[in-house]
Amino acid sequence: MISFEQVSKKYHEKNALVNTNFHLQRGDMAFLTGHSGAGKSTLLKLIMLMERPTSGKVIVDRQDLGQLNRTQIPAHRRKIGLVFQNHQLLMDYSVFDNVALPLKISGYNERDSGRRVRAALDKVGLLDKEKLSPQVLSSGEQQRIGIARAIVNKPKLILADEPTGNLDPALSADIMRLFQQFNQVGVTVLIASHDLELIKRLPHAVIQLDQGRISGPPSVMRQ
Amino acid sequence: MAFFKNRPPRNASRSQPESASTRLFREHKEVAISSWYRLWQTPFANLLTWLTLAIALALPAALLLLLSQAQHLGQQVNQSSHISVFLASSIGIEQGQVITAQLGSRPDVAKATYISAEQALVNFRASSGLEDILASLTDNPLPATILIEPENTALGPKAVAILAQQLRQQDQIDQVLVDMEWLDRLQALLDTSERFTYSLALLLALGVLLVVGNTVRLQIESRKQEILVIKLVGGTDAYLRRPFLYAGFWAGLFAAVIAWIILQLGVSYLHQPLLLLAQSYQSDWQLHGLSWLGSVLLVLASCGLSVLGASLTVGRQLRLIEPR
Repeated sequence: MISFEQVSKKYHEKNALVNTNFHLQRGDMAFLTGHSGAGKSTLLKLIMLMERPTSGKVIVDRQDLGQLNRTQIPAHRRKIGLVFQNHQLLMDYSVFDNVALPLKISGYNERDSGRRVRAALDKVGLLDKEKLSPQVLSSGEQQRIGIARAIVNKPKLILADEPTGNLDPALSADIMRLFQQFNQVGVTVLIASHDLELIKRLPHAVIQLDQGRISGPPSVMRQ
Repeated sequence: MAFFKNRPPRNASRSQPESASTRLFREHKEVAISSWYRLWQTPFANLLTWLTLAIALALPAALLLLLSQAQHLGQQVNQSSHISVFLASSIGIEQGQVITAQLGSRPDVAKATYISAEQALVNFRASSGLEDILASLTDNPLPATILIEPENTALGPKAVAILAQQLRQQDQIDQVLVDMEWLDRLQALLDTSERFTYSLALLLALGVLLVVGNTVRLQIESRKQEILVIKLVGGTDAYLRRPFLYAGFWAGLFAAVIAWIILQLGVSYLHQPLLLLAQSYQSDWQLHGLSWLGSVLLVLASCGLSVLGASLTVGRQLRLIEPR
């Protein structure tokens, strides 16, 4: 699903990623760990085409991203469900409208979009909050709304950048269980996180970044 | 149950697939409506923008209106201008009438009227009040005159000047008087006003572009977070641009309506004194308000400029907001 081939990224002569190679199979779930500044965000940004690599090749869903021009970026991003650390919800939108946003930009009509939004909210257990403003929700609930928005489009790939960064361990475990559920129905999931305690308890591959380099092949920490 | 194989599942009929054009139309309708509602979230700020735009539109529109009608008036004045042809003193009445008939048959002459020296004296005596002095004269000092009305011509003062020039070359004619200077001045004044109006219209059109552009820039700035998120979930540039273009369209429409009201109020305010002024020149000229065509042009110009201003800004501003 995701392939990095000799990918490097430099910001003003500072190396963010150096000759990175990794491969994530369709239907896999993996964690991306490392200290802050190790290149986790850069790696996700390259997959989202928020950045272009300085050298090397990024392939997502059999598509070489280097061949996509500016106008093709939106279609690429619509294939990916993105979950942010700070959830990036729009506070002047209702919960429903926040989740419906990816459908609206894809041109869904109200009926289809309503059905899908409610299905997504149901999945994260917040169906009864659709009319509220995200402002009145707890941070755990806000994060789950962010996840509902990421999955509403039924993407084949979910990327999450520190999705449990602001949450206590119990809530974090809830969130991870959600991702596992999506993975069980065939969605590829890549989660950047430095919450090693949590990762150790989960049976998924771990890609470890250290100063822009991947140290060793993906491995399951628990082993 | 192979018999039922081709039958669609019962719940598949719940929504018909939309054609691309239906979808585009629905999306535009949705954006038009939502941007309409967004207008009323900040009514006061919007009203100020619309007033600014309306004034920028009303000023050149009023000048154009006045100018187009003044040109009409100018043509009327041209048409009613006379040429006075003074015959040489050696020309007798009969010969004078022959010349008059000749002149009257020219294609560029509408009417030629012969006024004999005696008749001219009678007229002058009646209108001048200098009877005593005139009575003391032994000779009639006035020449016989032919009054010429030029053919109605769209060629304006130039045609009149050419006619006068040709008349001057005839031997029997002593002098030709045309109030050309006055006509020239009027025409020059109209030409100047025309250029002034066009320059002003151009500048104010630029002003409309800048005002709309700046308003849209501020709107984009205040919705930056929303734009970032939409870009991250895969919103296209066209999708992002649309609400701002519609906001520009609504601003143009409201500005045109306000400008139209300003114009009609201005016309009705000026109507009475202008009517008196025209009457004092024996003209039935009146200042009319905007015609239907004029009103439609005003709306088109306003909406067109506003959408143009919005689209010029929105493309550039949206490129500046990229998720990092």
